[in-house]
Amino acid sequence: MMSMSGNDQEVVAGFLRGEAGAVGTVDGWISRAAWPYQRRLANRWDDVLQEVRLEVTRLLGQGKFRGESSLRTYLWRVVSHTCLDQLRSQRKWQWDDLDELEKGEGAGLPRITPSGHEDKDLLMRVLERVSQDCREMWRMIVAGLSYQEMSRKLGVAEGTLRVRVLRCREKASALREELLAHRPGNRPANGRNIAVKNSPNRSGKAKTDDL
Amino acid sequence: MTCEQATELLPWLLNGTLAPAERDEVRRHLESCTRCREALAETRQAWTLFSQHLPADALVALAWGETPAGVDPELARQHLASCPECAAELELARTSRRLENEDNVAVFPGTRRREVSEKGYRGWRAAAMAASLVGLIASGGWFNSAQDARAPRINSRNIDLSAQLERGGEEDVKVVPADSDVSLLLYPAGEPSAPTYELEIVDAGDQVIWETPGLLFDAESNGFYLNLRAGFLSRGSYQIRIYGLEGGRRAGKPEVFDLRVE
Repeated sequence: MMSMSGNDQEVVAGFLRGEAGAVGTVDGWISRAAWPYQRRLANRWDDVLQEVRLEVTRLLGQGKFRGESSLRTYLWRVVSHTCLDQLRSQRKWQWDDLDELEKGEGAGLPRITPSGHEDKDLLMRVLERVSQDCREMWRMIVAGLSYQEMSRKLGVAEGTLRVRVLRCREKASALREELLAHRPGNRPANGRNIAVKNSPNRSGKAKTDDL
Repeated sequence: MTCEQATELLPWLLNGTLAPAERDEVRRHLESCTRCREALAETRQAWTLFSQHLPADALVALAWGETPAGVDPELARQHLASCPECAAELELARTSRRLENEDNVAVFPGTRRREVSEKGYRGWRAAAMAASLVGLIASGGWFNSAQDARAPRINSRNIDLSAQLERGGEEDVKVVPADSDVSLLLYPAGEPSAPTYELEIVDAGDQVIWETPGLLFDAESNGFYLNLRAGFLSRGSYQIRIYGLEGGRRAGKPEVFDLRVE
């Protein structure tokens, strides 16, 4: 592990002490690194910058910067990561009212909230194996198109569209089960299927700690 | 409502586009049908699956030219080829990285900020990327008269000019030194849609002191490049105005940037 350069050490220490020079240096890097994201986050830009500053302060305060790159490069990556998280949080959907509907149902399926690399990798593999048509239809749904709009766009009758979407969902579910069953560690030596435990639900926020 | 009908409508219940009467009917059915509530949970699983994107740390790694951890590189490549959101986000991260390496480029906000819809961003991005390639090629030459060596230059990114920029000033007013070369990246508030642009620099008396056609929007950097040579502008207040050109004529209102030279 490389040790921090003397100058970087001074900047980190000065920043954490609140010294004007160091704070100005770091803030300048933050503003510059975050600039390309400004257009897409314009409606809450001040909040985004504040979020970035908090994340930088947290990471530096916890000693997460270990000198593997320059401080400047490290912070540049943290800023990009945090801004990307902010972009994605704008697209998150909330279904509090549907949570209520599902609550009383003990037979409900465990929710997939992937955050570990392994879970993400599995879902990405499922996604890439699903047909292009399926991906396209579901992307339209996630983008907020009604079935009437989709029917017009795709030139397909509404009833046919709804059935196709349902079949896509079923195929994707089957693919996921198939890939899960074939994952290393999921099959015993005698080849019999066993019940697969789902990963515990974790926060969906990507972590900057490992940058 | 039958189970079959309710199950088919679940994706649009999730994205909130069912008509109120349809939505209420589906909800009433769900309240009393265990099997369809299971189908709702499965539909939410499918939603999670189909809204998968490359992790943010993978995009950052790719922007810095590294192999992303935890994601198969070929899978990442395939996903980027088919996911406009991830491709656009990777471009943003790459632009940020370029600013780390190019100290002589100043970033400069526009005077008006307008939210760009996701749909609109995807729509012009593809066209802008193609146009930016032309801009990069064209930027190898100079668009201004060779008679005035101090005249500004446009479209050139990689100019080896010393930049001593001053911070501060009023919001949206960029302060630059009179005695140093400086590069400005002018970031428009509106959506760039014209094939080319015309730039003029206007003094405090509204006199045009310099103008040039042939300005190109750089899609990689999301802005317009302007290089000011030391001594070209004397101390004072100026405006930089950028007009879209269509059919050789100015179209629409200009993007306006306030500049102070000190």
